Amino acid sequence: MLKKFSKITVLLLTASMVSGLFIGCGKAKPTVAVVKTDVNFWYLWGGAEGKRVESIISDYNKSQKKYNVKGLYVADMQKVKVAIAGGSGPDLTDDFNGNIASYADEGIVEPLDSYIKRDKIDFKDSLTGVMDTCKYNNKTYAMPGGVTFFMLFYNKKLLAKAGFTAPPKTNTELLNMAIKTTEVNKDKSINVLGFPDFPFVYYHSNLIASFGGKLYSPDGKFTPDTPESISALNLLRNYRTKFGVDNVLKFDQSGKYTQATDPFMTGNQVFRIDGQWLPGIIRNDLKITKDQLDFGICPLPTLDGQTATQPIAEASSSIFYITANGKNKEGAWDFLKSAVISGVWDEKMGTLPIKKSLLDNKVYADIPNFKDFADFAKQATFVSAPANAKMVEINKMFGDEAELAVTMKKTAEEAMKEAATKGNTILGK
Amino acid sequence: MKKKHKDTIAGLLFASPWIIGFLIFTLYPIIISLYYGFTDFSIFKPPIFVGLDNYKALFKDELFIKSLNNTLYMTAFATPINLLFGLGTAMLLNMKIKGMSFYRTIFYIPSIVPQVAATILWVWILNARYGLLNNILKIFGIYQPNWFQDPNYTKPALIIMGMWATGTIMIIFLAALQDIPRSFYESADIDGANNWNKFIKITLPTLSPVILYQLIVSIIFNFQIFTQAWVIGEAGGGGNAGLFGGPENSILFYATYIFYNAFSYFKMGKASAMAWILFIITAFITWLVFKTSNKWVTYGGE
Amino acid sequence: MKKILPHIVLILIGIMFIFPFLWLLSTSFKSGTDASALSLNLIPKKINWENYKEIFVKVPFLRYCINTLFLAIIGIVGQMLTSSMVAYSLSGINWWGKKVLFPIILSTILLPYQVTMIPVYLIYNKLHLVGTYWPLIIPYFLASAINIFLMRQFFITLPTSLMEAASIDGASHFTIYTKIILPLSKPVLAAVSVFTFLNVWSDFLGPLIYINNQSMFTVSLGLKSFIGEHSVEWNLIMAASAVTTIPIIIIFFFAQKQFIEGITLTGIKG
Repeated sequence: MLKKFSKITVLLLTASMVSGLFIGCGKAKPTVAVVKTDVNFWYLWGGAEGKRVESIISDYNKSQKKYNVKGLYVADMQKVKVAIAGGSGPDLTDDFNGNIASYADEGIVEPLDSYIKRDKIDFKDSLTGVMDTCKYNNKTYAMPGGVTFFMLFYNKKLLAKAGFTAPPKTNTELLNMAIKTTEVNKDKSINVLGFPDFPFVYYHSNLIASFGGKLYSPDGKFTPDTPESISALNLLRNYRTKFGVDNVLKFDQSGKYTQATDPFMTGNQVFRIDGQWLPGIIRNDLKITKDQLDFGICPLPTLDGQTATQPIAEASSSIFYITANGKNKEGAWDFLKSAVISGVWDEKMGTLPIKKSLLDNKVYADIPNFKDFADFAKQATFVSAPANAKMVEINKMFGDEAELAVTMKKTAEEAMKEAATKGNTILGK
Repeated sequence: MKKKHKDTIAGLLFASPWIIGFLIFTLYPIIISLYYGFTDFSIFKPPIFVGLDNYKALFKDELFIKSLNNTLYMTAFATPINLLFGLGTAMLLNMKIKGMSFYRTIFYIPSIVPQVAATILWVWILNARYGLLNNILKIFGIYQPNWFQDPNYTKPALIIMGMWATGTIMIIFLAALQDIPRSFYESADIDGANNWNKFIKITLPTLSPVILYQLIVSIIFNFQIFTQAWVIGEAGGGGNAGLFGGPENSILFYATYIFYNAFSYFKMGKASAMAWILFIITAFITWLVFKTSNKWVTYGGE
Repeated sequence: MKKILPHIVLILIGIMFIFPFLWLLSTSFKSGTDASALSLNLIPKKINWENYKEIFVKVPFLRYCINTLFLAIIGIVGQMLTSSMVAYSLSGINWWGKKVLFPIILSTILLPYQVTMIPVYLIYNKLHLVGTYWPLIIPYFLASAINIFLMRQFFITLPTSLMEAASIDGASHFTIYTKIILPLSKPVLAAVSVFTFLNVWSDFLGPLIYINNQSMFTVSLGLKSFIGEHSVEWNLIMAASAVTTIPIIIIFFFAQKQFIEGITLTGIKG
């Protein structure tokens, strides 16, 4: 690596000196050749999105003379980590926010507070709660990009068919509407799914957040057995009990997520919990018109009986971190400043900007239904589970217990009590 | 004397590719992985000796126990099923019928289909809603299981997939069957033996060495099942919100769990301990099969 | 009646074996929605050839095929060379290794790969070879136990008189190996080539562990990543699967004899 680097340096020096000579001949002042240092950036985006990343990179490279960012698409995060461990990793890379704690513990991320302080960057304008996704033990280890959170999509026509004019606000209303709008075939199989049970994920933690619950206590204990969590599970359970777990699960195999056979797209799903990319896929990629599918977006339901508070949602983000043993940390930081913190990244990728002031950016005007998400983001508080090094293990165990609850093998209370015990054992609390 | 000397050098030279490979990539790793099993080793830091902690922790690890159970289940069921099916189809193919080579080809080809593609094909065939199999079952009014989302049916699904690919086993049995001298059967015919007797008294005993070989190879193969389970985790119709292991971890197998521990969780120590346990179990079962084989295997003729 | 029964069973089982293939091809030519429709139509409403074109556009499948072919050729060369060398040392040379090494080599077949997987990975990581093709190529130049076995079994069937005569004439082992043994071993070399090709083409774990760069993916890894990250419709998935399967089937039709002979050799003498 080092050998290659110096070879390139020599080449560049020679090339620039030679060209400098020619330029110098024609002008009064001889130019001083500047050598760009490389910054290796490995990213997780492929396909069409990968191309946008490359254009962000090339724009940045053209905009300044100090650094040359070289992007590499790596499909698998594990490879990046191993390369870092072996000393042949990138300077900058991205991941999902859940992993930041273990990375910090392993010592593979560069703490960023000193850079932030030195360059006097403030995050006052950022969406409430979003910067927390990058903190661990009160230190900042990464910069967020592409915040995502979920909202509730609903098929207006199917709702109206059952006599509902407005979307649900609470969990009881959602369950009621879901049950009333479900259509079942003669053989009990489901034709129209009322509940947002497709795609096959639980949205458990998202519902806990919108119900105002927390998965971790202030002293770091794992608390999956709060009333909010149990209510969220029971919401799923109650719907499934009514129509049969087997039938609901079979329905899940009836189409492919975000393809033309996706049940929400075909009008076979009434409610859907999803992110801000969905309208774009519906209107732009799949070219489904308003006549074919008229949908609305509203916040996830709150818990019945709660007093109205500021809306809460669980947010997750991609995080960009500088590797602790990277060779060009300054270059990586500069790219972060120019491309990510500035909001350029979110602009180009069409994701939610971190800064509130950028929410009304004209760039987003073309994205279908972006405004629904932006408006919500302006007034909401975002929460995310506080980073801890055992998160991956805990999430797997948590998912396993939740699965038992929603397939009726255990009650919600039993499953969550079990999860609490196991989780705290893993955490050592 | 000189010739012997020359021969030894020649022998070493010719065998050197294997010897080098063995020393660097087999012997050394075996020894060092034994060591890793006693350490806490995430590759970001050097290994820390922790004695038997990994092993103790494993036996308390629910997922470890699950992966072991799943693997034992597959081995215990898939092995005899595949052997019986392979033997059965081989005997069918052994008949003197026209177009035998055509049938042989058809029966064999599925086993050479790349595992990833075969797995994906079967995930599609076993799709609970649109899959070929469930639609056929529907016509006959039989219950259509939710193959990849019902924890009771995920392993049976894998067993069905495995049966489709028993071509190799079948070919070996077929060749062995064709090796049995006709005279054996002729003399049995003279004695008035019926088909069943012929099978039990002649076919099986003569085939027994090959059965032994297949048994051991199958057991070892089933213990290491990886690709199918891995691919299903991604392509299968969901199951446990996209976390690995399938619904209720019903297809979390030993090899996939080792892989996750090594390359997702970076718990190299734990993964190495698991690998050694596998080694010991495999060696033990192989020894056991060999030991009991004296009772039922007959070598060379009568 | 009794005579017809085996035929019927044969045909039924034959259908069970071949139907999945037909279904694969059939789905690969259907349109996205048609593929998911609740019907058992074997014949698609319309033959959508563009499915195949589309997968090559969506992912660089051609690149994957070329990568895998490249690895396969290198693998074949490596195996033919090294496995035959070792096999010769176990058959044509009278030295202590002849008796001692053979059982050791065979026993390595029973070793679960998981035991060596991690340390081998760490070795390659230290050498900065992770992310390159080297970890996939090197093992093919270090001979493989099964191929050694195959070739050795074949070599011992060759008439020793030939070798003895050559040896008396003063030929070195090297000469005997290259001028006598190898030319006579075309059948077993062909079998080894075919099996090696099959192994490389189907290999999943190796590329999964060692290859990062998408442009370096092999066919199996490419297929898996195709369905994993793109969440595509079943018709395209089946088309991609067909693309990875068809080369193998073609090779099989040309090399049937080698396949069968190779397997039976390992199975019977094993």
